[in-house]
Amino acid sequence: MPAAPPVAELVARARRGESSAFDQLVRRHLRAAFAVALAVLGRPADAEDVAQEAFVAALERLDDCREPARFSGWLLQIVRNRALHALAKRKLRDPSDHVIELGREPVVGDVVLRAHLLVALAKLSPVQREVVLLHDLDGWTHAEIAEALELSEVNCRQHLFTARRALRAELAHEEVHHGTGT
Amino acid sequence: MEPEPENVDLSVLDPRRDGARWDRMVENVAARAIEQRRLRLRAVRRGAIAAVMAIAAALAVWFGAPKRDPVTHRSGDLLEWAVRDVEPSEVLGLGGNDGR
Repeated sequence: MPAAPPVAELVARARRGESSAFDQLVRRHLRAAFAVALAVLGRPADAEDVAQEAFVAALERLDDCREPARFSGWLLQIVRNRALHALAKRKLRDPSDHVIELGREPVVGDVVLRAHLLVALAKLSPVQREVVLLHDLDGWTHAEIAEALELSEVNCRQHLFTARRALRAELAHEEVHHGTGT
Repeated sequence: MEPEPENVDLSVLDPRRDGARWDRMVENVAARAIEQRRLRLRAVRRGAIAAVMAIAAALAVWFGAPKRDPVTHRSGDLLEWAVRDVEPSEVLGLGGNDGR
């Protein structure tokens, strides 16, 4: 299998209007955009909407990306800003704004695990959520996360360590109190 | 430092779990981005053409406008009076009958 082209090359090709480059950029980065939006918004459906809208907006003004090699960080900043804006609007509409409420509806299997995970993620700091989602959901390396989020690699490792430990503790606690739901 | 805890399984949150839906989402985002970018570039191009035409029109009006003669269009009599010794009675004559 040929090696994937570097992101800077894809950006250059997309700027020239090559539709396959757009497709590859989206395929490669949409899940990371979703991860960052989820870290801010806490609700997968909202995160999907914001990630898609932000991605379209970013690609529309691709010429503004001054360092194509750092496309990921540039894109994630746009996603984060849009997600924060969406969160502010959501809080205006619904000041109580719960990420998810357990025990309201009968939930089973993956759905309960998903709900527990969202509750556990909501208890982390925003940067911890971004780090753990990018690393454990989208498979980013520490170096990639550090560059995109403008952290040091050591800092990134610390965030991941703390986030994972907190998530495990929270999930264990939820299991004891709510059961698995299966 | 303690060893890093193992990955937390976040696969239930992964939007790629539903492969067909994910593919549709990717195609939709790419298609919308291409279309928006095309529209934006077209708008920029039209804006540039409009700006060039507006500048050309402004230059044409500027250079096509009739040249004004300095001062000489003013009343020649007044000018004459200003530079020569003129009797007051002559000045009164400048305004015709109303001058009196």
